[in-house]
Amino acid sequence: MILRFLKKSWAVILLLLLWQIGVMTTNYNSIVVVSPLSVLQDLTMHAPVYIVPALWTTGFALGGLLLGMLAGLVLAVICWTSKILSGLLQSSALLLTATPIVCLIPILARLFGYQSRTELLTVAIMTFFPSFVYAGSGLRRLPQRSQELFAALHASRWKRLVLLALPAAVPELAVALRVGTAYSILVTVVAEFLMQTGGLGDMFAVTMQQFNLHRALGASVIAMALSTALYEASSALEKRVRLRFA
Amino acid sequence: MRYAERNNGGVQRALYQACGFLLLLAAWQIAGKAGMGGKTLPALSDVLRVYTIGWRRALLLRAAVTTVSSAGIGLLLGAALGCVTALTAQLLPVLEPGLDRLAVVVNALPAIALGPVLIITVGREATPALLAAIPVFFLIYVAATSGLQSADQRLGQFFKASGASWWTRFLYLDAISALPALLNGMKLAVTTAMIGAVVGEWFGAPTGLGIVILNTMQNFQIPLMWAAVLVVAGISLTGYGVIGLLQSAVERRMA
Repeated sequence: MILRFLKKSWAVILLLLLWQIGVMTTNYNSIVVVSPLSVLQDLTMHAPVYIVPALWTTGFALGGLLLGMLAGLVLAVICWTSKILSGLLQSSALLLTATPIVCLIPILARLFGYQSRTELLTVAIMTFFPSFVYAGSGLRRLPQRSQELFAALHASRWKRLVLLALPAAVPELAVALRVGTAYSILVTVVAEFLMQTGGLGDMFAVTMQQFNLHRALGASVIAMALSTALYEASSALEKRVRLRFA
Repeated sequence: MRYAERNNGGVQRALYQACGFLLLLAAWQIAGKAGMGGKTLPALSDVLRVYTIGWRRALLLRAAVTTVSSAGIGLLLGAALGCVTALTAQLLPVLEPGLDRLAVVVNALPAIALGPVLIITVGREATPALLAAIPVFFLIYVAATSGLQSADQRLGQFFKASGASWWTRFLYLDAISALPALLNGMKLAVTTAMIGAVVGEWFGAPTGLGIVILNTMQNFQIPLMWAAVLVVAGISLTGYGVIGLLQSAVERRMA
């Protein structure tokens, strides 16, 4: 158990050790840089302070992820039904991929207000694209000869979608989920930081203004742990889906 | 015959895509003119007018040069680190699980937490490049790891049977097999590097497109803010397109 933990975490432990040594050997003031041990101390001594912001951030990240994934899937299905719509929507989707969405947060905040709904919308936009792209390619990656079989059975378009294309898209949707979860917490935290709507990003902004760096970095560590846990959970889900649909 | 059909299909698709792009621009213009987004969504023509004003064009150009330099340095640094780490993982498989987790954890570090610390430790100028390098490192590490593992096993056995050195196998088999995946990662990394550079500038860099976006938002210079965002999107789209073309050429060559 310990050996497995060390095998997977040796590099992170090494990084934390280097950080601790760096803080101990340099003379930076504690309002500039703090050691990982003092952050850990704050996390354990004042754990309840972090619970509500962590739940807030997780809720908005997962809500936005769900909205973005659903919107991407629905649009991919619409494109699947028509070549014209597919061509028309692809250029907008490509534009959205190349646009750094995080840079749009100030604009979204102005358009929809400095409110939680904008936070949700930002995450949804960020996760929409992977869902649209992967679902689109999954809906077209059908098992060999399956289309001929469905044509021979005179299956309706609806039957083809439900019984053939959507199941074929599930592994690709699992990849989209993994890609989306990797960014959902981080984007939520940046949106909260900029709009100060609550959650870990807001906690970070407020505690930084108070020069309480232990608490600010504690909030970041929680965000990092949440992001890593969600990524690893979605990676495990993707592996299971791949095995099931292989 | 089949080639001609495929070619026609490609032209038709490109035509639909161009129409989609024009429709999007038209929708923006109409929404802006109708005031659907209030003063926050100006018409496209108002945003484009910003580029015709000399001093504003010069401001955006100066800012773009700074941001592109930071993103470029971050891209190169992150890509080099990602490749070296992936190579280490391939050379010493026992280290791979730890390096995998390190990459995920480093990528999960919120930029807002690193920004203030980097401003103090490495300075305002270097922060955007370093914040751009971190997500690039993750993307390239993931792409390079999967690319290096994609080499044909039978060819690997052939190299082994021929007594080829590790270096020869790496140069003529592993590195070449990893190229498509690596370029796919680079394509995504261009946008990510631009995001990193812009967010890095929000923490107090002296100049750059991130600073222009923030300042114009606070001063309610909305058309200039949109013009800056369009420049960021344009640069990302150009990088995405150039690497996409390179990727297609490599894939054609390797097919």
